[in-house]
Amino acid sequence: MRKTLRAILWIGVYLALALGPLILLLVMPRPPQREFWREVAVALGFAGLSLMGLQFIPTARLGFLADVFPMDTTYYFHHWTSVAATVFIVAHPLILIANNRYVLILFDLANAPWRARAGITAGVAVIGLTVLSVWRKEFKLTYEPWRLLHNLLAIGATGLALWHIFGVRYYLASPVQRVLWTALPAVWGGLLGYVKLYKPWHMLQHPYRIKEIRKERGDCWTLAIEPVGHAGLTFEAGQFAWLTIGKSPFVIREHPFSFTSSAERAGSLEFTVKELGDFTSRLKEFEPGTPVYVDGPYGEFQIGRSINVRDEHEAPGYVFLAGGIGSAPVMGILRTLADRGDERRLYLFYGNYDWEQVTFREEIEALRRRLNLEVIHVLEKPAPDWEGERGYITAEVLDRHLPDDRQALVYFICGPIPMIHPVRSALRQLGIPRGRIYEERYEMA
Amino acid sequence: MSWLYARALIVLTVVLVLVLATLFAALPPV
Repeated sequence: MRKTLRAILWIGVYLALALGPLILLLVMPRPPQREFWREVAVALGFAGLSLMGLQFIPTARLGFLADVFPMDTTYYFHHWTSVAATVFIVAHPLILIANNRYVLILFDLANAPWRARAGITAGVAVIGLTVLSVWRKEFKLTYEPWRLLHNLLAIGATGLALWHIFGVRYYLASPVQRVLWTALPAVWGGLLGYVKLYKPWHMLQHPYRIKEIRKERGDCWTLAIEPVGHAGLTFEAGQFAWLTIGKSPFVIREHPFSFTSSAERAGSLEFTVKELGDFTSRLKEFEPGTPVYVDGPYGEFQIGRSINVRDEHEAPGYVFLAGGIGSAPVMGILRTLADRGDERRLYLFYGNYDWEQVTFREEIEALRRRLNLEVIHVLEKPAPDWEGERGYITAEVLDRHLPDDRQALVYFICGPIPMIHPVRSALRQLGIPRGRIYEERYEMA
Repeated sequence: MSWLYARALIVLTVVLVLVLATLFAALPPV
């Protein structure tokens, strides 16, 4: 419940920051009113800028927000509010032109005043930013150069848009508006500075180094790291951290990975990664001893606050539904529960392509001896003599293995997006309450 | 579950922006 209250509080803060500028425009004294559509266009411009500025708040990197909102949801939110902000920003000049075609004169960049040049360039940058983000894969842009371009365009567009509104100076002639539009960018910039400057500095003071990189089944690699000159961080099973490997933490090179080691074993940390993109495929090339910087832990896909408080869900047992490398956080949870001597009922429905690709296969078998764990492998393309479940994790498969008191258990789904939706539907079909289903998607930007 | 809330909040933001923009354009200054 406390988490729900915190979520409501932060949603309130978000709405105040997003809509506050428009509300202040409405209720504070302002200059004489102009035509209806001209004012609509101005309001949409201000709303677009305040929404765009809010996107600078790095939700996933601020612990107090990451604890409340799952990272995949905040990225989804970032994506779609940014699209809405772009629509408002593009609507601003279009409505102005439709209302009065002489506004087009301002698009003659050679002769236009600087405030118009700044506004138009900001608009073009915002359109570029949104197009490159929505269709990144179609443009064949890999993650790292895209992210650098994304950050540069966002900072450039916001700076130019602020220049535009201060330059036009119609509503910003009011001291209240000037204070507001100075304070808002200060908040955005302050949070950005905290994440881009303070945090890397803090990480630099608490370095780790690679202890070992070992091959796992299913094109996966486990990265084991150890702290250098400090005790190392503590985390909850199921959480993740951002890693920067072999580079300065000030360089934009971090990647989010789930902890796969036990939360009960302090010091050494392990992460298991599937070879998917450019960075994950290069991981195996790093040498032991390479410096690693860890920003974390983050994430609310977790169990247990500490060994004394068994877990916050008060569940008589857990059901894990993992697809492929979605098993990474689940392994962290199982290892932690085994180290705690947990005796509750556990079920792992584990979907893979074939038997050879089942990551952690041998270790899961070993964990069965330490835990009250039932493992149900579901193979898409099993060998002809396979006697287990075939195909995907469906309602029928779940129904065959779940106990009668299934509604009392807590469910964790973790895997790629195409797997999450059908598994969630299957659970709902079996009457599992929404509040007992937790999800983590392994696909974001 | 949280995705439903995220979607609802995005829709709410867009609706409130449009309502406030209309009020701003239609109402005379205080």
